[in-house]
Amino acid sequence: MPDELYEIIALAARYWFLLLMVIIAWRSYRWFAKDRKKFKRRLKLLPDAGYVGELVVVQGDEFVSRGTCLPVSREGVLGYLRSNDICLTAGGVANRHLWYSFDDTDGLLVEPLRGRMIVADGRELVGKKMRAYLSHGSTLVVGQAKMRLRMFSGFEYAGEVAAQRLPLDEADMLPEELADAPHNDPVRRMHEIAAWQTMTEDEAEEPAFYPPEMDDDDDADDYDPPMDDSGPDAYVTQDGSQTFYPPVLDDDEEILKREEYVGEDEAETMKRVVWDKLFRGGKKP
Amino acid sequence: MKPLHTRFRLVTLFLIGLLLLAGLYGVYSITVYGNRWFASSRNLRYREAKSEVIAGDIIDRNGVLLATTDAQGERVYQADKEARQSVVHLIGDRDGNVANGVDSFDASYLLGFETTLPERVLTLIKGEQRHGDDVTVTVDSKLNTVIVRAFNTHVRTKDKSGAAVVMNYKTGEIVGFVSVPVFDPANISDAVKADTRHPFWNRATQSTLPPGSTFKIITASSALENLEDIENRTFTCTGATQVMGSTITDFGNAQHGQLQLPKAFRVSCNNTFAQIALLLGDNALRRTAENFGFNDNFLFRDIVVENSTYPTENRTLIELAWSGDGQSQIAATPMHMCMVAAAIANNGVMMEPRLLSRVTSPEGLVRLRMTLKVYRRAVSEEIAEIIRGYMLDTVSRGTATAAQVDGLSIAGKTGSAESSLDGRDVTHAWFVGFIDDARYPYAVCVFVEEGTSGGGAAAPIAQAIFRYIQAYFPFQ
Amino acid sequence: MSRSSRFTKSLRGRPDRKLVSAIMLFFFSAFFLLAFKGELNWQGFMLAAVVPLLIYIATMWLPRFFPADKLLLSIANFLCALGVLVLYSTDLIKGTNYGMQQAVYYGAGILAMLFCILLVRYIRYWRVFIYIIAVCALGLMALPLAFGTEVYGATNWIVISGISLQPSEIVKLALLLVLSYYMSRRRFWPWLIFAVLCMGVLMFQADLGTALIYYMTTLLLYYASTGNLWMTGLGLLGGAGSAVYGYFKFAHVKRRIAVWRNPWMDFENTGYQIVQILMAIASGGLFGMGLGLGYPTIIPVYQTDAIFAVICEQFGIIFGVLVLCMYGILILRGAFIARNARRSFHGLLALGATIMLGLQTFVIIGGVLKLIPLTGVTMPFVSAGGTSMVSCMGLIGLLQGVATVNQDDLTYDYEVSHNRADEESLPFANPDT
Repeated sequence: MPDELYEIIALAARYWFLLLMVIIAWRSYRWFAKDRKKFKRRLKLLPDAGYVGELVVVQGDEFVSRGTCLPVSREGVLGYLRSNDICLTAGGVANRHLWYSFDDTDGLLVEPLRGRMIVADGRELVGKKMRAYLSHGSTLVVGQAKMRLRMFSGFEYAGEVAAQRLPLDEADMLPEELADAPHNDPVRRMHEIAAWQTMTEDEAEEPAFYPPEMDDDDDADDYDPPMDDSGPDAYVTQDGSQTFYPPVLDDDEEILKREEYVGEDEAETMKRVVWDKLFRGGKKP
Repeated sequence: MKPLHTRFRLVTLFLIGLLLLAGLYGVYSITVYGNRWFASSRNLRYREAKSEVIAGDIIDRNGVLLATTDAQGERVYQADKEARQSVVHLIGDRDGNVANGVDSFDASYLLGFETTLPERVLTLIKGEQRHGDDVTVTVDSKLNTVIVRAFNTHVRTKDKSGAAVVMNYKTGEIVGFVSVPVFDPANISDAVKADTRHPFWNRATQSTLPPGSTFKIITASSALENLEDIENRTFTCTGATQVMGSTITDFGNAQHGQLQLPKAFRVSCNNTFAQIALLLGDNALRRTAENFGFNDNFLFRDIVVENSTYPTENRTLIELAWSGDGQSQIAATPMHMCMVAAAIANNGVMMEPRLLSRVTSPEGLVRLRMTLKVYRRAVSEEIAEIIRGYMLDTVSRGTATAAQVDGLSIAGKTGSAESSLDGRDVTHAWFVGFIDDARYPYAVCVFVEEGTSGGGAAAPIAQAIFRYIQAYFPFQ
Repeated sequence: MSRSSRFTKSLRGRPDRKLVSAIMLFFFSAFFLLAFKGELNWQGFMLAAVVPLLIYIATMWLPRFFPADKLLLSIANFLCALGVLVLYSTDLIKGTNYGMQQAVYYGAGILAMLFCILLVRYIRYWRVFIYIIAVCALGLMALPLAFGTEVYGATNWIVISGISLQPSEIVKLALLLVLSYYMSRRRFWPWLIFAVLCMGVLMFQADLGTALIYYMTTLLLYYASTGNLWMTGLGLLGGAGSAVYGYFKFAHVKRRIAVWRNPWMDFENTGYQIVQILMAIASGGLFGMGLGLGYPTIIPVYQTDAIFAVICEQFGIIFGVLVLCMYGILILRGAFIARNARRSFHGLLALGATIMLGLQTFVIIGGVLKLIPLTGVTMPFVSAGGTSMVSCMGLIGLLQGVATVNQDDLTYDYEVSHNRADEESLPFANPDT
């Protein structure tokens, strides 16, 4: 083809290619946006997506109040620093205290980091080599905080131990009509949590062990949780205990009034989680 | 996980911001600088295009053919050697030794890059070779010849380097554009290449040098703007004003005694203007200079002009004092000083310089017409009026009497700028001025390297220019 | 119903098909046009048929057999094919063979991508693996010190039986894995030591562009994982400090900066490349000079560093900005994947891959546009070069691996949560599964 003719065709083709490129870029973006929207919509169906359960503090100290619910993700680090996946500001908790990881078959693996000590289901674990698997209802003592693990619906049967486990202790405390209620029934949940707290009160006042001294870690911090200031303010609780989540009472009204969640994004997830569980049972409206 | 997600979002935003920055900068660069990069004489692209396209003609404002392409595709200039030498810096040469001549700067027109697709198809169908657009410039080539002749014949300017720019101050058109020494584009010998006077430089637009006393136009404007009742104030010129241990002297060690601003301007008293500068302060003077276009990044459509500078760092008093006299690291091109004079002539409005009068396609379609554009307002009308009065005075009985022409009202200002060249101390000669007549609205800047005296060396050339304009230019 | 309306009907609500069809049309017409340049090139016709077909296979069929993210795949394939197109057009001018070579490297890239996807998806217990990776990576980095050959001022290459490799590109992937593993475990020293060693070797080899990218990635990942502004700021200061130190100590850094500020000063030598690049881009203007036209081969190293200038010369700066948008969508998608990761390890890995791609793109395009000094990094997917292609496809593979892990998790959540309120398909970029 003579050069001049090719040049003319190529010059005309510039606009064609540019048009196609605009279409390509536009369609890519639309695909991305649509996909994201769809994903977000689906995510609303699974309000606790990403979290396998929560650790409910049944006995805390002046820094972490009773009734605090800490959401548990699939895996992560629990410790004092706000940068951790679970931030526990109780006394006796190290900067990074333990590593947890959820496994479908075995349950929630907990493994204290080097030199730390925890008590899981009554068993004392120290240091890196020892690990334990928790399941729904297991107790976990870290520092001065005593917690129970509550798995979200669907995960509660993870772990072989759970399979052999007797029906949960607190089932005795449940009123009869709730015995067959599904796990995500809001009233049942309320009763379970209350039951856990009552149970703990019956136990000995003294904690089972004295927590080791908080060791000076590689990133030396002072008392104030030193992380980003976008975290919930209520963790700074030296000046009087501001209840993060109000203590659970038998009264339905009190639960309905569970409005205030301190802190922004974290609170929002939690709100959605708890709200959905309480009032929608996780079902789509 | 939530704080983690917020941080993820921040990092993503940062990345997207970076890419956005790159994209915007790209588009900005191309729109603003694109033509200059393309037109750079180093660009091989249009050189290759020369083999395929017949380069268009360059024509001056009166229809004189300045450059055309012959049957072999070579660029051919005017037959008369003197004529083609005088426009060599305007047009450029075949090898691109002259930077940004019309031949290379407007290559996008001359080499047919702007031909539209239908035109190309038509040419292909007709089977002809492609022909670039013809460019008509605003310059009068005969005026250029007159200027070069004036440089060569006048005893004070013979064999000197320099430049001259003549502009229509109402429209911004450049009618005269000369840089000396010239050379013959048809015959570039090794001697020319080795000439230590650098004949390839376009001194009109590329040399930035201290304007000397011509800068007093700006100092005076600044004084009129900022100092109360400055016209009635009396200054004392002892011939040696002491500032910070250095002495301000006048040309020829003159002492002017008691004088006021009009007289100081007329006789170009360094002492007075140094004192005025000290009164003004650096900020005020700089602001006025920037109003006149100093420190601005010149991005004119038709022409590439080096930026003029007024220093911006903190300066000492002695430097400030000399700045009033246009020394001390102030630098401007002859092109810009012509624009300064044009601004005063045009009631304080500085027009953007225009070099392209018209661009026509081979079929006669007009692709580009000259449009007027205001570059900026330099001073208010009243102040321009006052300064015009001073400049008229300077020519009638001041330092610039050598520029007088019978029958024309000439305004002007001379300058002797001290500088250093190759390690020597030299004095350059400047003249800026204009014809104060609506029939001939032209402003001029003449610059003679090592000319010593503005009134002695530069003003006579301006006179020759004015005479030619009076004789040959049509009324406006 | 007629064929055309059947076609449009099959596209409705199927964004993947829409995009892929547009891409296929683009490359078909482009190669078809190029085939007519000069004499009739049969290679052009062949490519006009094969490239769109390959794109279709790679984007629509591959995800059926391997877990993958279709959107990322289609954008990556588009960019790779664009590289082949542009290189082929320069081949026609100069008679080189970069286009076909690039197609071969693309094959290698696909393999690398698949490898990375499977790596991320199926390995659960990384602890031991990370040690091995770290040690191997350091060894690989150090190889050029021993047997290296110098290319364009950086001793970053090794040549094995005629094939030249750039280990720092491969180590990029290892760096990401190591960083995300230790950061997700909230441990400080291991990754820091690894990163410092890598940077040290890079400095020694005078590969400043890659060093910059490594450094910024580490810094940004550190900020993302800990949010510790003080330390991040400290790191930034340290980086700036070492940059200033480098400026004063190394002559060629000074030269680069001087050339960046005013390339026309020394246009013959140091400034030659950037000046040619700028002139090429300016010649392209807004709409370009036309495919197959222009003089891109004048630019030194046009096939790797300055490929963006070649694109802008032929297609125009608007087209160039749109290509930049494609990279932007890649980044958005990567961020989306990182956000939906369930474990911090995967989240950080995805974010790290996104950061690397984004930074590399910015550094090279900024350098070409004279926004920042020109360095020796390549443009992801588009630049000629085997190691560049392999490493960028590897990064995309890591991203897709995380995406597939996300989908697995989501499926699992979905199944166990007893919420079968609606049976619609799962939210992911696989609308047909």
